[in-house]
Amino acid sequence: MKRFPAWSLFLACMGAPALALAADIQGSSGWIPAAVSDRGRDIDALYMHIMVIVVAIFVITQGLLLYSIIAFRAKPGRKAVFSHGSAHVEIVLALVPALILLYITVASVQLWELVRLKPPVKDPVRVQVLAEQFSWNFRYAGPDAVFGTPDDVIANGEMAVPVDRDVLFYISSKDVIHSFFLPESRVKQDVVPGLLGRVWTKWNVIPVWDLATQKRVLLTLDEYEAAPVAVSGYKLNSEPNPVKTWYQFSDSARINYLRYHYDLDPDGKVVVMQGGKVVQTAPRYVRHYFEIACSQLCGNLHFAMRGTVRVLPPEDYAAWLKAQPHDDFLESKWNGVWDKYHPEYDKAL
Amino acid sequence: MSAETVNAVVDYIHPEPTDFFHKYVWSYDHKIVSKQYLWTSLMFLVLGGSLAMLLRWQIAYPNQPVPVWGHLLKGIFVFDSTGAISSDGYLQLATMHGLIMVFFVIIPLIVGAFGNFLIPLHIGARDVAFPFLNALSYWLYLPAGLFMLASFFMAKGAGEAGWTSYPPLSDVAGAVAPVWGMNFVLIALFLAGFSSILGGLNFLATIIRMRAPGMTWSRLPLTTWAQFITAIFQVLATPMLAAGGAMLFFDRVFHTSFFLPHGLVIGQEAAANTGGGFPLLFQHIFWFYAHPAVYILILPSMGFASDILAAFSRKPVFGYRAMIISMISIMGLGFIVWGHHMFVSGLNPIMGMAFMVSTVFIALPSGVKVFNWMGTLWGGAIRLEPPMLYAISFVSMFIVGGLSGIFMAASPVDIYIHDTYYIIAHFHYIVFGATLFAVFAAATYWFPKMFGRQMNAKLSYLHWGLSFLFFNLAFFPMHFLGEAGHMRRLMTSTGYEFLNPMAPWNEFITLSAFALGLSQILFAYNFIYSVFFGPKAEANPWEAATLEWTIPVPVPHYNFKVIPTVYRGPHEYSSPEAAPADWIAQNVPPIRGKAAH
Repeated sequence: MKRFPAWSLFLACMGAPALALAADIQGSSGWIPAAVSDRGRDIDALYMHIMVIVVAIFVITQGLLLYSIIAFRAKPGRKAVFSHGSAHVEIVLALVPALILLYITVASVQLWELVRLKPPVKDPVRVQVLAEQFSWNFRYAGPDAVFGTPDDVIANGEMAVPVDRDVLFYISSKDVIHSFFLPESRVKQDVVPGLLGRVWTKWNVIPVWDLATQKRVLLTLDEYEAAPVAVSGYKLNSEPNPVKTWYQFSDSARINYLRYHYDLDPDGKVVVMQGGKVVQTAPRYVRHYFEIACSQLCGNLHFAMRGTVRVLPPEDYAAWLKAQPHDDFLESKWNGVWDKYHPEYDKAL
Repeated sequence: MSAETVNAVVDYIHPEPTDFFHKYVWSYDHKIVSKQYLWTSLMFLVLGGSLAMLLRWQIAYPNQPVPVWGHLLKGIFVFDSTGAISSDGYLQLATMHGLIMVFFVIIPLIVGAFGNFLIPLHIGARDVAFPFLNALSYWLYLPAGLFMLASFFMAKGAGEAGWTSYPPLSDVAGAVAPVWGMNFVLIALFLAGFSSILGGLNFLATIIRMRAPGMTWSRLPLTTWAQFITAIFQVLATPMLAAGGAMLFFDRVFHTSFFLPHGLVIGQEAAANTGGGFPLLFQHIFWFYAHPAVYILILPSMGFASDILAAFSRKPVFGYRAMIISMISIMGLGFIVWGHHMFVSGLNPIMGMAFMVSTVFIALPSGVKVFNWMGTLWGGAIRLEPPMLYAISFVSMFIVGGLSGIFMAASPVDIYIHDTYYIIAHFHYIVFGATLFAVFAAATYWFPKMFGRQMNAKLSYLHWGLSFLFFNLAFFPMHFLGEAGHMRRLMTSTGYEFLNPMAPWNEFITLSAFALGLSQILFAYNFIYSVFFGPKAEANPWEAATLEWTIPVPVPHYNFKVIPTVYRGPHEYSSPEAAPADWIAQNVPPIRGKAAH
């Protein structure tokens, strides 16, 4: 039997996971996208509570495991303790996790009720979402507040919502199961054909792009009104990221690791708004968006089924609705599928 | 069955075969059937692992031609005309990797190979209860595997809707390209399901009826207890898979609509056979089987680990009875947690709440088992032979996988991490980190008994070290990907701005996965070389106390010359009764008139 010095065992057993764990703790705030809604923050808080418990259990159990194999290694003359276990220890070791799990259950049940069983009631913005292979269709009820009428506003791929207002999504699919995933909002639900799903959230920040740092920034409505924001005339470009991370091996072009930046659009006209009025100052920010991802396998272009959400101040949102073009083809998807096969969906409240 | 008489059923042995066909092809000998399962599933392991390597290449280096293979197989199978992975091909890789690993590698390995070999030897029987069914089980599994392989050769390729095959994607023509590829997959699962059910029945009958005199339920090795609980799962749950698979097959081939609601429009065309069905019905049926299936994937490995930890700590398992109660609890709870796969599926949130409670609590028996394994090590005289090292890392990685499961059980958190790499990290820690490492432990531990030779210890240590390191480097960062919201089954994540920062991690994981795959060559070489040229082993090289070590190697056709009588439990290591030796076998009569346990 080989004799291992303790340090080699430590490295072998704890080295890789310890490095990874350290990287996780250090990077955690960097990898989880910032939450942009109250329920989202609640979910993150639950995640962190569970993380603290889990990390503690991890450290204790892995540490004891490692200690055991070092301290109780067979040595000449060493005899193992002849024990079949202890009922007392067994009961304690069962009760303590049971209490911890009970705490997690209660916390989760309370939050689940809040997130899934309490839709907004006070005049939310209602949006119907029709998923298809491989894009997102959106429909708003329009001025008459009734779905399925000619004044409905229809969009594909990009939708808009007003900031600081509840938004209620009615989701269904026309072909296969997709999943409506808003990462920053912590909203996700499968979009099932034949089923009308309902999810809701409220954004309390507006996504913009800071032209100086070339990063996305989240502004409250007040901060947004106070700053000069370009609403057109800029284009989002990308190129391979010149900065390599420490765990990256190949160059960024090879692995498609991009750096995004907004530049002047040669074909566009720069319009800068501040406080709801057009101004002539140089913009500090450019209007940006949140992404919608499909997170249920829906076919071979599943990876390309991306949408965007523009969170806007109320007047801009109203202007956006008015500005959506009428498109017969898009409308036919609603009339020919949603309204035709499921007229009851339009009456759901 | 009385403790003193030998049951005629137990004592009977079918005649030893003389010709090649009855010796090695259609064999009633459980030891041969186990080796048939072993070799076939190891070959599927190589295939399933290779599919994963191709998958990882595409994720790390999007749309770039695969070295060597892309050039050779341009335009066929999963490759497009430039030699890179096509969009359909990527999904076929993901789907077939999952299906092959679950149904054609892990279950046949831990149940078909090790279960078959060990159960009769552990209980003191000459063979299983139904040797004909045993042979049939293997000969259903192999054709099923061939159907899976054949699906790659069908026009438009193999199954492409994920291993979970949710309808309508897997159901309605035109939603995905493959037609007969997917049908072959369903036929394969149906056959493999039958193999599983027959095997489960066989093992139940064997363990219940054919235990040697004195082999009471509380003297069974935990390997056998685990196989017993697994067999109950197999018999009760697998028929649901057959039902769901049959309904899906009927929808596809005979145009029924079990799972298709009315009003489906694929592209511009209304789907032909829609009306009256409901997609979530498939999910309920599938997960009612597939959740117990994951317990089928882990319980036998828990059994191996328990017996190996005891043997190499030279002390009994800590809390033998608690281990059994935990396994029975897992069995009971395992049937009422399936909805946790459906928290974000559109399922009624009240049902979601109910499933959340049962899911959080199924963590408890697993936790008890982990503490008992640690208790087994505590105060022992630990011999760090290769099987022990694998078994200890089983416990370590099962802890990681189990803890990550707690996040998913909390359904509000699951809303965010469902269908992300967090889930992939969780189940790979359990199925690879825990189960497959326990398979390595079992393989190195029982190799001398199975093949009469020893595996090379140095190579095993090296294989262990490299696998442990690269496994953690490959799969731990997937938790980070999940935290970032990185979805599953994405051919490339680079279209999403919010996922772009994770591109370097995808490369890191891929390279670690390649290193992990290459490290397995060490095990393959060690295993295969040792079967033919390894040093000859003695009957009990590990000084272990269970019944299989009391018989000579190579194990004779009849297993036991005389059916043993059992006087004590399976892990009586360092017992005062054994002194001055630190172990005493189960079939040695009580020494000094001491009452046996």
